Amino acid sequence: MSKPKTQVIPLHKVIMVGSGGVGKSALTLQFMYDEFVEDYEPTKADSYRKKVILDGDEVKIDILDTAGQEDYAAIRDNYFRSGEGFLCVFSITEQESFQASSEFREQILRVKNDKNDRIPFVLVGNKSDLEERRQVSIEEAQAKAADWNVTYVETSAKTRANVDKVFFDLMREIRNHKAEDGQKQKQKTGKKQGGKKKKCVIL
Amino acid sequence: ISDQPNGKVRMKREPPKVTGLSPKEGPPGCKVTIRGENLGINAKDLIGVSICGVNCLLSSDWISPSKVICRTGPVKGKGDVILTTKSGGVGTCTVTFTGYFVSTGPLQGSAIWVDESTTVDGRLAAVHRTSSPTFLEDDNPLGLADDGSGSQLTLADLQEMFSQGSTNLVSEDFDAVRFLLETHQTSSFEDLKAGCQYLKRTSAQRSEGPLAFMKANVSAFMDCQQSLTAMHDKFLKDDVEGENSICESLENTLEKCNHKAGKLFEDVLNRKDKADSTRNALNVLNRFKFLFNLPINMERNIQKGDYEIVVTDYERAKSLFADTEVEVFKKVYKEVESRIDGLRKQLLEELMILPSTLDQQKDLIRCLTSLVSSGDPAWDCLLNQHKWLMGLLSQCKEDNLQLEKEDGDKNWEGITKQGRVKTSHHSSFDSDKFNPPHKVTFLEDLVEIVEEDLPDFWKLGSAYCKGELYTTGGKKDRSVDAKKENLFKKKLTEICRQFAYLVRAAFLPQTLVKLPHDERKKFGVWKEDNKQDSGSAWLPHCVRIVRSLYSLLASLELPAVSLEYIQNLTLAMRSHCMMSLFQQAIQDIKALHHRELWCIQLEENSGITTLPLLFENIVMETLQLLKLFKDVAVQKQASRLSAEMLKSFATCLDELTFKTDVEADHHMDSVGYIESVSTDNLPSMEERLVIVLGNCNYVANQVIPRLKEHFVRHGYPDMKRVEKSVQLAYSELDDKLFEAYTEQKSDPVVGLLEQGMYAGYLDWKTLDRPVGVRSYVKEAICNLISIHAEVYAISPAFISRMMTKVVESLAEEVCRLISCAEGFNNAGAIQARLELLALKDSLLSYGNAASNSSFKEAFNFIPSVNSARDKKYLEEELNTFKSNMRLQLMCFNSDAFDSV
Repeated sequence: MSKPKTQVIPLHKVIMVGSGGVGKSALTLQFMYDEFVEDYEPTKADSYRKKVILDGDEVKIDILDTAGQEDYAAIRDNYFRSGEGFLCVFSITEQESFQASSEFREQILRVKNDKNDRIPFVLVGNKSDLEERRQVSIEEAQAKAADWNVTYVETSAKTRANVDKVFFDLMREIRNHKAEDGQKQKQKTGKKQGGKKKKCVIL
Repeated sequence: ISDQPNGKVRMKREPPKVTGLSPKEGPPGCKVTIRGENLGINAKDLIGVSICGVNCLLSSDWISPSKVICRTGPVKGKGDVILTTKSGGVGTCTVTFTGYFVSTGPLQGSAIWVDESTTVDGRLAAVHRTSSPTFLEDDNPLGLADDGSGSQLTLADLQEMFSQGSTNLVSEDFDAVRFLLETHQTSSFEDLKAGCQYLKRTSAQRSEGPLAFMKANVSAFMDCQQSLTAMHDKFLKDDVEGENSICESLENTLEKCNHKAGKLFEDVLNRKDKADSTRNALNVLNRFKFLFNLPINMERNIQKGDYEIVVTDYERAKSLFADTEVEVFKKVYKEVESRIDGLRKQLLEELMILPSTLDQQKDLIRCLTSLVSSGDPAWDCLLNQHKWLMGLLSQCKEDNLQLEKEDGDKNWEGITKQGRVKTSHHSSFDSDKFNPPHKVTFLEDLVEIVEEDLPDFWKLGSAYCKGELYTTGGKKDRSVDAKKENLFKKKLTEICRQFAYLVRAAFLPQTLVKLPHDERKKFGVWKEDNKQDSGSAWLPHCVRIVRSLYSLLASLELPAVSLEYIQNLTLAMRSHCMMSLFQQAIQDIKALHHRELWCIQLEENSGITTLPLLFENIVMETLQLLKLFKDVAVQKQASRLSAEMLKSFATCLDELTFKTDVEADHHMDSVGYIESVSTDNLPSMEERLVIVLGNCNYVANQVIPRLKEHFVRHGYPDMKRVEKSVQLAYSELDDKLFEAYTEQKSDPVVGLLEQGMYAGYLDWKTLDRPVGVRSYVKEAICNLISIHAEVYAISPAFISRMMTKVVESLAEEVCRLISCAEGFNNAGAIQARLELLALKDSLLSYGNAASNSSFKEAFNFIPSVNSARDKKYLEEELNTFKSNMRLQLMCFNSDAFDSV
């Protein structure tokens, strides 16, 4: 079962962002453990990691579930820096959370310092099961997503609708992004890269 | 873990795996939700929770197989979260927890007391600085995520490297290097640079100073000011309105509060009183129950052997009920007392049962003393053990004596009845080697007894003498009087003495001769060693046993008086061992002549047989077994014995030469292996003489000096004298042998001479004319040649010596014969002169002063030959003789040349 060989299972670091109470932790727990937590307890910073099969390959997903509350805004910078992909969650029953997603987007771009805006990023409208309390229309959200050049998905942590989809979509993006990066890196310092790889094999 | 490998009832479960932490970092004591797989099938299944190596099982709360909640311990830094379950074993984790310590800032609320001396003082000292206190709250000034995968340096390492610095940003001894190492050890340089930028940015923001701080917290400041004003107003109002001072009203209020509180708690207090009294009553009841149940409980505990419990119970009962007035209690207490009496007796009996271990005895004695039994149980125990030990020793002696007797009977029967059981000397010797003699087994048994039981006896005794046995009982002052201590030492000495004498009786009976007869008898009389060889072979083993016992006892720090017996015994055993080993060697050497095979090996011009080598081996083996020690008397004896040993070979050789003929037949019958030396191989007396002579010479010149070297190396004193006396013995033997040989040899040669000289009734007076050298001269020379050949074949080195001697006696005889002649005519004179000259010239190379003078004397008897014709004739005849006998004469000459 365990293969302590040179073949390292790729690890994708996903960060959950979004305002407080939109259901970041609920989505995470649903994805990780197939459970839906009813009671609300504000998150500080939770860490999850497990193996999943992504398009037939074994990968590890590392989920950092961050705090939505403003109190923790200051420490977000640190977390964002280590993230490779972001699930920006808002609640379709709360307009403010949708507005706040723009701030998160900006903060991420600032921290990641990516000129091309090509950060793996998925805009998630959660609580789709509460259709009767909807405040954010699909069109509105899709317009924003299109503006950012990202995908928009509506999910329900309660019914597990699209939960797997958002995580897997994001992981694919991360994978592709890494591949592109690798390509670039190779073009830059092809020989060096090779040397490094060899070293890994030895280790 | 399943105990049924194939069972379907309880499948072996996977080990727990932690995949989620909420939160993933926090200060000590923060609540963490641990999620994962197989975190236990129920709350009891979870048997270990470790966060960063700190066990948190106590604070853990099992919720479901995928969720456990617990609180972190005092951890700092990154670490694994490992759960352990009964069903799955030790688990793994995919996520890590990071612990950090928070320092509560001056503006933060805290549920616990915060030591502000460091932070506040630091802040006051730096009050002129424009940085705002909020700076203190920032616990990550570089704004870097700590995403390192484990650090190489542990906190302890860092503590060692930077004992002075601290990582507290506001502390005066803040050490930037340590801070970076501790928090950002694995960050890349790029990250650190970014962190530096971040730090600069924030500090730039802060440089706006208190103003910015005020702006940011303006509402808080306003609130503070408003409350202060409100308070001020109220105070003013109270001061103006109230007739009484503000303190009085406060006092009243407090009084009221107190009254009200008292009322509120009245009920509770009453209930508490009630509960107390109930508890008291219960206690009393319990005490009664304890007493009533005590006899039964005691019985049960006694049966179980838990004497300690009984003793404590009894003491408790005694303190509670000893002075009771109540009849029922008195009755029960009496029963308890009687049981205790029984127990006391039982314990005493148990104490007297031996063998038992030291701890058991100590426990029993302690129990007995705490039960306040009359007398002195420890002392009784010691006496008893002493008696028992003595008994054991005697018993051991009796048993082994008995065995020896039985064995002796059997052997005797075996020899007489079956006759052939022990025909071979070999086999009996071997069987003795494999089965140690009874004395040895006896010694082994004795030593075993002493080794096993004496240390316990001594330990118990010394503990008793030091009063250690009563430390737990402790109520009475049981200081042990010196009398008993002395008595104990005497007892101990008695045992040692008994042991030593028993061993002496077996091995050194002569040392016990001085003892009174009846006492001597007690130590047993052993059969004398009739078979020396078997007894002494085991002696070194015995000595070793006794010595190891001595060192064991010495290490126990036994009193010197007792040790002395053992020590003396050891010494005596050692010297006895040495003596008997020497004796053994001497005997062996003396018996060596049975093993002569008469095979000659040439070594440095002299033939020797295997015998000298065998002799050397025996001596060396003996030496190897013995190590000399420093007793003067023993040393003297040793050197005497070594001399005797070395001399004994001379005796052996002597015997070999002169007695073999007589005893050979006898030995061939009784001793098996002599048969291999058949009579055919036995060389003639003369040959034997020469061989032995060679051996004797070899031993004197080669072996003895070599052996002497070894003796000196082994530390034997006075070896020069020993060597001298030994050499003397060998030269005596040499002379004797030589004498015997020459006698043996020259007699026939010399005897023939007279016959030959007067063969044909020759008369020197009436001889008509000289007849040339007659054959008897040639015969004598031939005989000499045969002697020469014999000696040469065995030992060329002796030729000159041997031949000289023979020639000497020959010359003497010739001289005698000539002197006896009644007169010579001319022809007779020429004849005699011719023959004498022929003899003398042929034997020239072996002449010495004695033979030359003999010849000369002989010539004097013969009238001189004057005429030239006669002289010429003489010369011619001599020359013909020499040319005829050239070959024969050459043998002497060439040899003379050789032997030079």
